[in-house]
Amino acid sequence: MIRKELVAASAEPMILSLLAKGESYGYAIIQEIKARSGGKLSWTDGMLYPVLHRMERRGLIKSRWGESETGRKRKYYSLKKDGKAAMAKHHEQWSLVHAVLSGLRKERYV
Amino acid sequence: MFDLEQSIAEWRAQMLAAGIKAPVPLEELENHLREEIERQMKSGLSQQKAFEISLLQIGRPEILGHEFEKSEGTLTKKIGIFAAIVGAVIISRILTEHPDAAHLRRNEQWEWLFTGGAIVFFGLSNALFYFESSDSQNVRRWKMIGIAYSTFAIWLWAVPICLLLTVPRFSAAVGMTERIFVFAAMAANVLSILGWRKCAAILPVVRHQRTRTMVGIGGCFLGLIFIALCFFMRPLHFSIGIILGLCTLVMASVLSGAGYGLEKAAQEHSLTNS
Repeated sequence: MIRKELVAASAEPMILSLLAKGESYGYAIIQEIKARSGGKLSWTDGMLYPVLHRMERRGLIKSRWGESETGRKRKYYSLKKDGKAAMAKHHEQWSLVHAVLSGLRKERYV
Repeated sequence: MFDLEQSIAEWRAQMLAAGIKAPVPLEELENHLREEIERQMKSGLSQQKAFEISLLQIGRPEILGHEFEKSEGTLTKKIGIFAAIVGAVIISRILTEHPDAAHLRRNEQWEWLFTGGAIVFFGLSNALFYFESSDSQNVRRWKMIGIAYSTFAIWLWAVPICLLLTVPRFSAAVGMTERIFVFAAMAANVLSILGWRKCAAILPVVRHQRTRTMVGIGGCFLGLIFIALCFFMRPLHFSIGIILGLCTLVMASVLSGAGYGLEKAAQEHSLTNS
């Protein structure tokens, strides 16, 4: 399992990147992150919603109420313009971290 | 016999007790819980087992409640409401004991009245406006100061505007142009509150926090001078006085946002380059 500090730090870029593919809702976001990480990147399900609400208030994402296939009410989230910019910034920063770590790792084995 | 609806109702009650009282997060969490129960049941678990596992997945009510409280700024709002009530009690007590302005002046109660007003505005600005949890302490502090200042400026003008609209003697003395000025200035005042959010994009990045603080304090100090001018001005004409007064309050309102704008600009810059 991945440390909770890293999971918390990666929550926003993960959500933004998922929503960049199209609108989604809380449960689907969690399931997709779990599936993509092979279950290694997961947080307590309920913790996702305060993060989503905070991002909505910061103007990164927006929401609308819709209906599921079974007729149940469901809150869908989608990316806003500021969210796209924030996502680009996150990608740049995480890529840099990844590049530095990869470089250091390679040097160790040279 | 396990009753799923009854169990969900009990879980909702626990969530409410933990402080998740707003309907939107509660409904979202319940939908999430139901979807997880359905998924677990499809994999062959009994209703009761699926419910128990889903409860563990979604998290303990007190932890979620605490997280929502942080996210929604509930604690800040509670402090704000408490401060507003304290301020209102101070004002009402002074006004009850000193029924007219002359009595107030004679008993030197103006300072207490002003303090009560300041506490009310501090409390209301805390309670009514959301402070992003991603903002640093300095940004929040200056945002609160700016909002309190601006709200105070609007409040000061609420009285003359009411006079303007309701008292025939004042109403007759003010022409259409002055009225347009009055409402334009009020709109500028309100927009200055909303405009601060965008200030970060246009303001320069001041790297030293001490300089930012000094500029912020300077802005507020100038704002106070403008407010004082508004009280001590003795214009030749009533309508000129209205316009000048409004300009000073708009200036006070805008200047008090300088500290917030600079702090926000510095924070955005450090986030981008960190």
